[in-house]
Amino acid sequence: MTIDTVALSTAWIHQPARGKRPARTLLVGAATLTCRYRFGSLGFDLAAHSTTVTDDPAETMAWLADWLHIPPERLLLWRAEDIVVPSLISACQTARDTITAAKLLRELDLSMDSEVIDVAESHGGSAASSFDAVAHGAGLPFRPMTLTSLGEAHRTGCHGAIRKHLASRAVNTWRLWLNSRGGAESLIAATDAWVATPDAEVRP
Amino acid sequence: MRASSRLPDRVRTPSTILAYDIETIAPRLKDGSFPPWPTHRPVAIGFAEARNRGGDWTFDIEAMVVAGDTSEADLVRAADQRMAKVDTVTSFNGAQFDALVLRLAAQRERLWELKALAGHAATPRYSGEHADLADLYASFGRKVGLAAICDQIGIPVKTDVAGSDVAALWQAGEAERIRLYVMEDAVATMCLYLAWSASRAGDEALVTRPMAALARHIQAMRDLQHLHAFIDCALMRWCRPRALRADVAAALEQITAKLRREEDERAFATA
Repeated sequence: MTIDTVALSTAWIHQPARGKRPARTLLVGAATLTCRYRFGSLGFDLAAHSTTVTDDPAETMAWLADWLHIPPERLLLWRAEDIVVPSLISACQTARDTITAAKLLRELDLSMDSEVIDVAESHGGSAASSFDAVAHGAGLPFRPMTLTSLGEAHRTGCHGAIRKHLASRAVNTWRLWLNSRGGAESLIAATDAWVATPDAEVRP
Repeated sequence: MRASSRLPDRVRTPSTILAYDIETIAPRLKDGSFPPWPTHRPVAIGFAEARNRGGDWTFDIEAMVVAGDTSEADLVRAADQRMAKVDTVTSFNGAQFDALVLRLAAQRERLWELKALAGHAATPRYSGEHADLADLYASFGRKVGLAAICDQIGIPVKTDVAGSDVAALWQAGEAERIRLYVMEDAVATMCLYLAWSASRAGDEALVTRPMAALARHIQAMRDLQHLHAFIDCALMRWCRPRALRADVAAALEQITAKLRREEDERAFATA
């Protein structure tokens, strides 16, 4: 069984080496927008997870591995090659929980059988402007979050800020991809209609 | 059919590769034939250097043309410096033209200390130390042009200028167009080398991962805008999604080995 399209956004923090502790990449949040097209109608499912300073750092990795367990037909990412996938790999390679890291990598590896689309490619690839700038340029509402505010949210246990930011990115990744395709007016209209409903609030 | 039992030779993955190409001018011959190589003077040189550190590929792309403060001696010195830093030098017909022209230019300029260039030019044709793709692709038989091979694989080459235009461009003072052209040829040569080495080693990751890194490098560098044809070429479109998969697969392999090691250590500790 496969599901149609998943737009994935992630957030991570690079922790420098300190004393005997080696440097590591912490996956502190992830959000997925799943879009299913069945019997002529489009269904959406928005979910997010985050890990803050008092949580087990492997929790978000385990959550994402579960989400990718059923590989999507199509995986939408922003800056897949140079940011998202390398940061996920780095998070797995530096994780202290090797089993969870291996599980995420295995699911990610299986997801690579899907059609993986880097939405940034139609905006200049690795030379693309920031995601927020592109979303703003396309007239999409967005929730910006700087690295500093991400670090602050992680430090203070502010799950809501991280999840809402990532959920907004996942939705905008889907919308930017739709905008780059021709003849997607009905899908854009369906997305707009869904975004206006309470269902578009992120589900933890 | 029985699979070949012959092991691939010289297919170790080099960690540093230099692809280069030169453009020259020479007095025209009355019969219109290609002038003998000693009459050629190098006027431009292009370098595409690839470095592989644990599967992460980085690139350095540069070209120089004899103009302003840059002399023929600077070109030759730059070639020597770059050749000294890499494991493998590759070119297209370099063994029988580019290397000989550069060595002669060095002697004309009284540059005797250029050991890397001298070593490169003195490499025996069949030794394999210099990966001359014109020879390798033709199995040391009748050579064909770079474009003839690149066209088949989907590598862009000579998109604006061809080698036969260089003399006219040089006379017209269009040094910058020559610089861009020689850079494009060096990058095409690098792509062709990657395709060659992947094919020879039977490992597609040897072309997919460096090609994807090359695309990112070109996208990130503003002064490489003229190389965008490489990002959209058929070989690149094939490589990029596979490179992503190869990156994840390599990481999975590493972490699986780490897990196994941890299991062994646990078993040892409890024994």
